[in-house]
Amino acid sequence: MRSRRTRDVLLAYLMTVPAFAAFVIFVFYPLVKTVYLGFYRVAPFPGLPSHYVGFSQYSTVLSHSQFLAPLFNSTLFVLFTVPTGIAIGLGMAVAAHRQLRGIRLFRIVFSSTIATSVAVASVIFFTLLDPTTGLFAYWIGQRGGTGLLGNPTFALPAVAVVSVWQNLGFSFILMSAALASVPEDLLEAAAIDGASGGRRFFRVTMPLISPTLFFAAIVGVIAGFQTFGQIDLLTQGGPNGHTNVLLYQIYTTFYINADTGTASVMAVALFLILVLLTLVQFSIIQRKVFYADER
Amino acid sequence: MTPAAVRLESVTKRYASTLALSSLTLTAEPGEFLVLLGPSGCGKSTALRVIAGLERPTSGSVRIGDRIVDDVEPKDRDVAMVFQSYALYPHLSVRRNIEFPLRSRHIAASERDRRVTDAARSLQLEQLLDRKPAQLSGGQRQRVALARAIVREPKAFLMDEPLSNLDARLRVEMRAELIELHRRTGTTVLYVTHDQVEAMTMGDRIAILNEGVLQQVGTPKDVYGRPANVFVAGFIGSPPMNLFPGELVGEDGVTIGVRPEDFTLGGAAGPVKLAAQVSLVESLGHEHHVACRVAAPSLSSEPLVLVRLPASVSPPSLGEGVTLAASGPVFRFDSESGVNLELAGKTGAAAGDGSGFR
Ligand SMILES: Nc1ncnc2c1ncn2[C@@H]1O[C@H](COP(=O)(O)OP(=O)(O)OP(=O)(O)O)[C@@H](O)[C@H]1O
Ligand SMILES: [Mg+2]
Repeated sequence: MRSRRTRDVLLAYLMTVPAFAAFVIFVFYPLVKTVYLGFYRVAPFPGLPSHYVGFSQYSTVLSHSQFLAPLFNSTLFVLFTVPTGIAIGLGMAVAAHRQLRGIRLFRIVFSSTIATSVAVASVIFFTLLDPTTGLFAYWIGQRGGTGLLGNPTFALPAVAVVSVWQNLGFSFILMSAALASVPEDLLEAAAIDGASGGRRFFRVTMPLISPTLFFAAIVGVIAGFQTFGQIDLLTQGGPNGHTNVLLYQIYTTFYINADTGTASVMAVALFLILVLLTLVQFSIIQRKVFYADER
Repeated sequence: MTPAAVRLESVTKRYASTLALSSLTLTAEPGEFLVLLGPSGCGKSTALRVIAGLERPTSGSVRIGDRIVDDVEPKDRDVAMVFQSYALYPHLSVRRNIEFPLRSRHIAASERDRRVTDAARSLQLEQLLDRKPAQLSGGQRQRVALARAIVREPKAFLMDEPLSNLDARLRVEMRAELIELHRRTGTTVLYVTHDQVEAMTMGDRIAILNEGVLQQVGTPKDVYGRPANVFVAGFIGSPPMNLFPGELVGEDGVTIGVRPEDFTLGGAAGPVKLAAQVSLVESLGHEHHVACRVAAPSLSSEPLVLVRLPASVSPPSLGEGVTLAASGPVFRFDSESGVNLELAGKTGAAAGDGSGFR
């Protein structure tokens, strides 16, 4: 009896080993190593040894505009993409929620961007936005010049549009599932109770799908801060650093400038920012957001 | 709000393959407690949903008060509905749930508070106003659903099996409360149930539906004492009426119906006399149920007849041969159409005469 229990426990531990090993090798070790690299200042020329500077590199890098400007751009990018992505996805889900003839076609079209990748989306929009041959330039009747992606004011919003578009399929599917989970009888009760369509939506549907909205917000913020592909393919951080978001800055610092120390400091900062945001959002969820299983 | 009549006028509701309501014409008089009774799937909920405007009838129309509401949205029909599932808003407190219809109608805060307080008091919810529905028992949720309906002071209440999720004791309690509530508010009530005891005890009149077709409307006394057809006869009464082929008593082409309490063992003479053998005896304390197998050489199977005996009579023993004699009313139904032959000659047999409104 006893030996069997011991065997079970041993087996249980044994079975967690692969997952634990993967975690240590691919998550924990790189994280520690990154923090550690942040303590070493890299010499300006390759081949020279880097030397230990402790936390001083953290304070210099994090207060420098080479970190703060990309951080600002990333924040702006998240503010551009997350609320709009959720709102448009929800709007499409509401539109497609009705039982109409041919509605399935719309559902397929609305979800279709989930089958694209960042690269595909970027290529599509790069072509559309091309200042000389693009459809967009033709529409606004203005050929040549820098185009939207070369315009300091519009470059970041334009990249944001690409991101929103590319994530729309996911957002739509998520919101459709949430809408489907709202019990029909509650909406019927609200209708009989005299609630208009708007009141039913904002007082019944929205509170009931709020867990999904917050989930989408968390995932969206994290994805937004990790944006890289669109930037690399569309603007390479330009014009003049206006689309240089945090991850792209880390990338150029690390691979182009080979400044592992500075890049590591910024990577650690990004990690901490995301952890912090997630914690804040979870605490909001616990206090404010209604979970349907409380029913 | 003065209570209004609610009228369905030859309403038919067809879903893809099922006919949920078949040309249903039915009126709940102002202030009446009308029960819709029938087996599962007979279209009771559909009837209520059509009245509330949640379903559009395939044909026919609905009238509330003196207004035809076919093109009126649910929110403007001014009826309140209590759902079988209660449909409480899980994210709102009990107070907010009860207030919801008042806020929807932009009732002033002072008036709103007064009505919520009244409703909460009359349903003993005062202590629970700050709780969420998840923190309530089934009976309490049911009362919140009722409170949310009565604060409205609507033209009519639609109740879809509101007691079916409660345990037996609570159900009896709530039944009394509902009757009391109806007496106090005087509002028209359409009450759906498949429980005939509820129907008999609560309804001013009962409308019996089967497969979307109205079988009979009448007072509880009517439908019990003068069932329009075999279906009503078999559905009303517990245990149900014994129905057997007329051949057993020498009457061809009819189905004979005798209620279990209207049989005696042996003794008195009457039109119906059957030789039978006791096959089961159940003693319930206040009465005995005796199942007897009737000797029927002319039939392929021997029908089973249930007899209800008062506790004062000592029940027969198993296997004993007995003579069943009808001591009460004997019903005769056409074995083809099922119509009660006694009422068939008179007018309006199938739908009752509606005069039973008390
Ligand atoms: N939305 C729907 N789509 C298709 N068929 C439906 C729909 N709603 C109801 N029906 C069918 O219509 C018939 C009547 O349903 P209804 O819900 O009115 O029955 P009911 O008398 O309320 O039954 P119960 O006592 O089980 O609640 C049933 O056969 C049901 O399957
Ligand atoms: Mg029903």
